[in-house]
Amino acid sequence: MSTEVPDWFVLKDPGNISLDIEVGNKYADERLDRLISEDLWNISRPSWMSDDEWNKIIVEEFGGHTFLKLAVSQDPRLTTWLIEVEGDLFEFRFISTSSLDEKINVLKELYSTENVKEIQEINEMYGIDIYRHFSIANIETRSVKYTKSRFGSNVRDLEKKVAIHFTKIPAIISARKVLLYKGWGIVTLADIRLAVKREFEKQLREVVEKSKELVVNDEGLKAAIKPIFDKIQKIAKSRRLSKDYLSLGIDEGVEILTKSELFPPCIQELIGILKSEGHLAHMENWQLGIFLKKAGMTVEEQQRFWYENSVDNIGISFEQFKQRVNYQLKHMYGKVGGGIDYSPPSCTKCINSYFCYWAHKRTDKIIEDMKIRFAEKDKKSLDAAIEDISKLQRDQQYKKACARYFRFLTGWSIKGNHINQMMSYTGLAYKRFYGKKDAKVEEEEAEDND
Amino acid sequence: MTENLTSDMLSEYYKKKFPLDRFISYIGLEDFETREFMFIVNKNVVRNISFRTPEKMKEYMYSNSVESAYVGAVYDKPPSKNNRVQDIGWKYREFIFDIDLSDYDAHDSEGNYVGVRTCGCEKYVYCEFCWNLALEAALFIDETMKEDFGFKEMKWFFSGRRGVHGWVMDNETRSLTNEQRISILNYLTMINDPTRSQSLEEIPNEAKPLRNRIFSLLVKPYFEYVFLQDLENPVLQCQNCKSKFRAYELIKEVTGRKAEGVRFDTLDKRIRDQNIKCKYCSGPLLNVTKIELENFGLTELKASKLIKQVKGTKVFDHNQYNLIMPYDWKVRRNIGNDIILRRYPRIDKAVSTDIKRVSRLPYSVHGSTGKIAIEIKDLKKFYPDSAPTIWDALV
Ligand SMILES: [Zn+2]
Ligand SMILES: [Zn+2]
Repeated sequence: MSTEVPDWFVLKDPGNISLDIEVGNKYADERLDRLISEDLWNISRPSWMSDDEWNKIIVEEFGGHTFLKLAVSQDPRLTTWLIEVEGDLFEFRFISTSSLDEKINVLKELYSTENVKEIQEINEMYGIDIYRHFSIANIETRSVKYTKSRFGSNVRDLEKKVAIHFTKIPAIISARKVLLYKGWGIVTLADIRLAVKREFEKQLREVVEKSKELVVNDEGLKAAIKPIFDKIQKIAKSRRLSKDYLSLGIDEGVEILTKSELFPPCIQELIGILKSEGHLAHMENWQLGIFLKKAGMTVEEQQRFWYENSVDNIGISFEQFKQRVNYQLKHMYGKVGGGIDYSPPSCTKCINSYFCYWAHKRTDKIIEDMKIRFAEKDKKSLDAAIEDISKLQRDQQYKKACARYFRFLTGWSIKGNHINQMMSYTGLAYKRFYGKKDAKVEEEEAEDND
Repeated sequence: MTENLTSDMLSEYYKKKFPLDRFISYIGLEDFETREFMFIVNKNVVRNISFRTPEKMKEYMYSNSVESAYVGAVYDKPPSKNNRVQDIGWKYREFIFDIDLSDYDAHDSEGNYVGVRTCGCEKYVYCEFCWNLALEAALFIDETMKEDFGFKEMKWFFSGRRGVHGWVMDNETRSLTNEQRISILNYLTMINDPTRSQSLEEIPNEAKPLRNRIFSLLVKPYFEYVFLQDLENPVLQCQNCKSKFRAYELIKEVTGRKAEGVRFDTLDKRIRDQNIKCKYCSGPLLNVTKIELENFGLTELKASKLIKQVKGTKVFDHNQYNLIMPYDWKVRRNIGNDIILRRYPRIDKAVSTDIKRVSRLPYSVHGSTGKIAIEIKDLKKFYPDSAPTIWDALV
């Protein structure tokens, strides 16, 4: 049994490695290509490999990783991007390593040795048999579930249990997804897999923060890593959009956030209220926050956005403000509280408990808004739209009112004549205004015969 | 302040009777200088105050005849008017639980009582019946802290009125981060909104110790106090003014006759025949216990059988529960919800997680009741009326 931290763990101290900047850039470039191809890879030393050959691999691994860290350290958005992709790589390596010892050693490295125990050790420490004491089966039959994961059948040992001190896994304690005994959380590797990934990401972020100073004080280094920085920036930008938007047909690399005409009326209104009044109701905060997240805002950008637009910030610094909103933002981004990737609320939900422009704004105010916003438009069709919308609003047909508005705005009618989800509004508006000419469009051109 | 609780008495108590050494044994001497205290002096709140030595604190307390005294967190520098706790960094604070019977109360938008105390008590009022809620909560938390979280010592203090404070004494708790404190509270909390709760059935399988504890500490009292009492003495509610009454007491009061043998099955008939109405507004009465049982999916017969079985069980656990509960998903879910709602500990989360909160200083005098916030040696034997008062101490 080896007690060493495996070489695939990039936060490990690799010992003495020296390489010049040119080589470092080259390794970083190669690593970058591999990271974005999503062809996650493992490194482990085959028995036949010579020390020299293996060392070369290690140097590439740690050298490439180090230069990537240096490059992203100057830009919080790029930092977030690198942390995400390195986090995925780490997760893949962690769950697919064939050695349980390696997994445990990585846990000990992340949480420090005294906070990680094997069940046998717990049994000896307290003179009990945990499994018998709580009458739980030693072997669980959950492995089937994980073979369907995106890592294919490489997944190993996830049903095995370990003990981690409760102080290290607050999100899991909060969710009660744990058997607690004398301060030790008895968990399966499957249960903590996400928490372990988050811990890795947290520690990687700290390392990147430290690299920042290194680069700031060294103009030469800054210039040297410029090519890598540029390349990451290009990639990260093209990959900012959430999968949800990509599935709606919005092209990679599009900055939705700069195109407010793509925002549905509810979101435009919420931003307007926030800017004029300085705060929103709790549920509205959530609705807007999730929308912005899905449109590609990072946690850091949202902190900035809310700081600049809230009245909550009066008399406090940005740093203090960050502390205040951090928990909710982290929650929204799935960094705490179970790691859920929240979807934006459906229109039905917005109508019932969040904010819907059509359900919650007075008709006369809406008419006023439309008259100002569309002063340039043909008066006859504006009046027709206003009349239709007022009628739909009166009949509580809010989703249809939204679709009618969309038709007036774009000249396209929407299948079924109603909007179900705020993001699909954005997806359709994008197709209308920015879609490629040759793209096949599902929506029919508007016909004024209804 | 009660009329006869004078500043002379307070001064004398803090000068001669207050057990300073014992108090120091709870908080330790190290870092005493940078610990915040809070007092009520002449009905004014004095915060951001610290002392060089315990004796200086005592001197302050008797020379100002403090009406209430609280202990706060330890900070980087001694808190003072110029170093307010909002502006300086904190080092640590004890991990403290606050249980207060008024957390079991709730009112609807019209001001009607919709809390879980069925004895008629609310706010400051308590009786031996509802005190059980506080007792059970304390026992539950005590066991959870020790068994699940591995802490070795907890001390319980009387809050001076209608609650208790639990201090986890292990030094490790001092360095708990906010995130860790919140995680412990989240693990323990089942009731976020006082009118709704999570169901027993929704506790994840993994959290076996917590679930077992609900069975061993809460389910039996639920059936024996709440369920049985409701069945033997149903709750009647006025349809007009929404006041709630216990059938036995109400019948006795309005008919002037002893209401012997209030039988659940004949109660409706009796109300009709004897024309019993709301004692406040003469509105019509409704047997809400009956409706509740129906909502549970239980008949009176089934419910009585259930109670009999619970009473006949010495040690209650998950297996016992599974054996006696009907295999009807709806009934199980409803009763599971009700057990949590009416028996599960209600903890003031902010007290435990907000570092800057202060907590009543052990052995100080409660300014309104005159009772002393003593350490409770045996939770099961403690009842607020038996707590010593300043008058007892000064005799
Ligand atoms: Zn009572
Ligand atoms: Zn009445």
